[in-house]
Amino acid sequence: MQTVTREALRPGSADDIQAALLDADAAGSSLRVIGGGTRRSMMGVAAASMRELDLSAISGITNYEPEELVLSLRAGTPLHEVEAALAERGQMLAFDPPDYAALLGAGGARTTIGGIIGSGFAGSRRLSAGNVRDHLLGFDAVSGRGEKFRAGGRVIKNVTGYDLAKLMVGSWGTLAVVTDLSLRVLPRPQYEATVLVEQGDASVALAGIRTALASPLEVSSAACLADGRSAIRLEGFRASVEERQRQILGMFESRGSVRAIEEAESAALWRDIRDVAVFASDARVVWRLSLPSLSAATVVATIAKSAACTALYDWGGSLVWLAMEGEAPAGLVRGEVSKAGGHAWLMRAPVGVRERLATAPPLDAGTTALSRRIKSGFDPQNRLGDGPFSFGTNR
Amino acid sequence: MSLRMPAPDPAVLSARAEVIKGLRRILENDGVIGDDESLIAYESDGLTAYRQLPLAVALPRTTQQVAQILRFCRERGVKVVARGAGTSLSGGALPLADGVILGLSRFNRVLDIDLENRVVVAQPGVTNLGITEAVKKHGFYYAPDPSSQIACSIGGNVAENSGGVHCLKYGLTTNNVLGVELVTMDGEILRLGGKTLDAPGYDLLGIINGSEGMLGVITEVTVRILPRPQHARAALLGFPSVEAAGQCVADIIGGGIVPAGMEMMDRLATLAAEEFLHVGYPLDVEAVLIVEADGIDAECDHVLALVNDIATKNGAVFSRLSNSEDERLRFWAGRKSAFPAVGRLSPDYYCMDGTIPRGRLAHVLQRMNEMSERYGLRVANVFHAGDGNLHPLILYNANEPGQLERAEAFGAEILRLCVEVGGVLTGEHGVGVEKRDLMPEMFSEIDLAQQMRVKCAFDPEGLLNPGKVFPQLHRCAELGRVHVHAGRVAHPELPRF
Ligand SMILES: Cc1cc2nc3c(=O)[nH]c(=O)nc-3n(C[C@H](O)[C@H](O)[C@H](O)COP(=O)(O)OP(=O)(O)OC[C@H]3O[C@@H](n4cnc5c(N)ncnc54)[C@H](O)[C@@H]3O)c2cc1C
Ligand SMILES: Cc1cc2nc3c(=O)[nH]c(=O)nc-3n(C[C@H](O)[C@H](O)[C@H](O)COP(=O)(O)OP(=O)(O)OC[C@H]3O[C@@H](n4cnc5c(N)ncnc54)[C@H](O)[C@@H]3O)c2cc1C
Repeated sequence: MQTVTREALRPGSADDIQAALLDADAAGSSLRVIGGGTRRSMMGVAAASMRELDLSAISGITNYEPEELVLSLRAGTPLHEVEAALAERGQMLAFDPPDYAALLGAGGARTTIGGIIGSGFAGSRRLSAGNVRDHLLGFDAVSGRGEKFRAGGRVIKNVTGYDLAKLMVGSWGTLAVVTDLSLRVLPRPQYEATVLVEQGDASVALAGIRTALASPLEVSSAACLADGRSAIRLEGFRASVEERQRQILGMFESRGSVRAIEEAESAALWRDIRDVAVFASDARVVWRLSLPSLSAATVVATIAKSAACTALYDWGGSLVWLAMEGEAPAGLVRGEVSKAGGHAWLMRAPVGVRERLATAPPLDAGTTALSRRIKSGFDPQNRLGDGPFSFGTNR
Repeated sequence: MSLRMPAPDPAVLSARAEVIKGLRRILENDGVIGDDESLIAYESDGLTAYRQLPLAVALPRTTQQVAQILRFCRERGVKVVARGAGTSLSGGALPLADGVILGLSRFNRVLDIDLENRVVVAQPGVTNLGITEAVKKHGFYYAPDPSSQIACSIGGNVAENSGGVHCLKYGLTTNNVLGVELVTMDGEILRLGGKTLDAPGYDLLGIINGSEGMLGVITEVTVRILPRPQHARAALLGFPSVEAAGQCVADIIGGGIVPAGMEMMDRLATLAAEEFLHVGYPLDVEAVLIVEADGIDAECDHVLALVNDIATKNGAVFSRLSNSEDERLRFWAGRKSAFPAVGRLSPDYYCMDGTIPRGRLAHVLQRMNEMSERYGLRVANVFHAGDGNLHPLILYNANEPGQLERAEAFGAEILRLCVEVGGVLTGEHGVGVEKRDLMPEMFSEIDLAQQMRVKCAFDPEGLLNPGKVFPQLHRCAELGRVHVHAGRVAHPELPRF
């Protein structure tokens, strides 16, 4: 599938990126932005004339002010470097960036912050702490036009002009090449515990989870694992977590067998849930479904009637990871999901399947047309390609 | 008014009767206002220094009617300004002489209370507080709480991306809205997002939030609701200097605490509030800080004890921890009525809304005091201390010739200062007409062109709320040519770096 023939370009500055775009313009070719490449398999089929623009040289933290809850950095900075710097000051990226390198068979690759922003997938804490989009405060970029521009700022509260940062998140490098960005960061909770419950099937488990989420006990993440257990996570100051843990245990005692795990053991479980470790070591097709939580179990049950599958539910049921044997019945999956008001990403699939199916969820006609106009506003000549989308200018 | 609005289109002005007739046809003679006397109610929003009678007002009830009105106006080149409750403080809903006001006041129903998915679907004219009222009995609430929440509409909140005192922990409007139904200027009805926690494709919902009514008319909003915290407790703290209070805020956050709310008031704002309500604020301090914790008892008690320690270490000379709900509300009452309280000190006041990096607060207040002397106008400050959003209230008397102009010049200088120290022109009130001409302080021509191209993707003819946000009106076709790169590069085939 990798039809990229020439070596990657490795710009060291916004000026270099601008020059690369102008070159592409002159040659009538296009570029594909690569952070660390862990999600390359999802970026769509590369055109023969496409060159990769590897951002790994545009790297490093430029300004970190823990008391301001703001971190500024260059887009190619590897995620592990960011997390280490934050951990040193007891802080974190609250949207809980996932690492899908193992899931997507890109083992050894380094996820970059630009790739996290570009693909826009949040981890398990999205339920309580917001999405990737909720944490990007501002950025500098070179648009597909080859123009350097900036939007947003370095402060949390800002409504000065349109919120272009939202458009960058999840745009898969198709609008502009981000060079620098500022993120909102938050204190890392002092303590965490997870209540594990074994009870009935997924629909029973998710109903229990919804009860916990409707309580004022500030559940930070909630999942129903592929083995049927539910996991309810509490984070914060130890005194508060312990009391809430007691109340959650009480809530579930009569529903099934319950136990609690704490600190490192809890954190390790949630890392696995977030990174979808349960499906990393097999070869099945993996879908990522986003659904109203109440519909999740029903949608999965309907799909399961026609195609054997295993589900991992995160975000209180609103995010479903579905692993399926053999062919990917896209019509069935996308049909059921969209009937319920959700959408589905084809996260992992053999090359043959990828070529036939859209990776990104299809959009309705009106939104597609509007998205195409947005794309033209940033990148009228389509120098940055369509990524995983099918609303691009040349397809 | 000192700002220029786009010149009215004489053809539209002279076709007024026809436009009104067309609107009446669409709305079946119910909800079109065309006489000047009744139009006065719509001549301004919360920024009352700016007034303009619109061409007409249309008050539709259904999305289909909104679509028809927009299509009708577009065909005739008539501009449209959407209006919620008209509480905007930046002139976002200021009418245009040749434009129709599309009022959403009849879109006032909560459509779906979905407790299982923890969302509410409401029409855009429902008030912010109306959403909380609708779910209160089930133990839920809608978190963003602008001070105007009894009046402002949820549609207006989305358009302005409004904030409130609890945003530090719970986020702004944009972080709590999951979906909208939107009608674009060509009458197309779009649904963006829904009851899911993310949406596919470009984040168009994200760009609608804070777009100040310029991209489309919002006809339905889906928001996330949260279980109401069991308890809330607040600390009322007094400091001998702004620096000490600022350091206390930094240490609270540095100490890993994200309070539910953290508000600061300077001496003048504190005095005004205390005189107005007698809530027990200390009067011998330079800064008052209110810090709130919410959650279960163990959470509130633990956080407040930490906050109290940090305050003591930073030299707080006054400290009370609320021991009852009554007391907590009393602490807040002064802050919540700070605007009317300051209003009693002066015939008029002008409310500013910059954001600064919190660490620069003392410096900014110092510079503001110098300006205050120079302009001969007093200024009181209330500050969303957690997120750096500063509301200087400039006191003036509009009946004294020149004072309004001086107040505006003072305000503009404050906002330039905010940008100079690394902050922004507006934290929650929006650019509107008020800060429109200051936009180049923050953005280059290219930055602004990129924003305007987004506008063009939604509204290529520029008919929806023109004259707001952008200092210069460009035709969309011209923007294509703003393309200002450095010219062709030689030898494109050679590697460059
Ligand atoms: C020459 C070379 C070859 C490589 N080959 C492979 C390989 O075959 N397989 C492999 O797994 N790893 C490979 N790598 C490693 C790879 O660079 C990293 O694994 C990868 O960059 C990490 O990806 P990511 O997770 O940061 O996001 P990516 O997967 O790089 O990006 C995710 C999405 O975000 C977009 N994006 C990323 N950064 C930005 C930005 N700054 N602005 C706008 N959009 C952005 C991308 O266009 C993409 O759509 C290679 C590296 C190099 C230098
Ligand atoms: C006393 C007072 C206190 C305030 N306190 C706060 C505060 O604490 N925090 C804060 O953030 N703001 C505050 N505000 C400002 C104001 O209340 C908010 O900006 C509010 O969101 C505006 O809502 P509205 O319904 O009044 O909108 P309007 O004033 O009617 O309109 C505002 C903008 O939104 C657009 N708009 C309105 N409805 C729609 C729609 N359905 N579709 C598309 N566009 C639409 C309009 O075109 C206009 O550009 C305060 C205002 C006052 C008067």
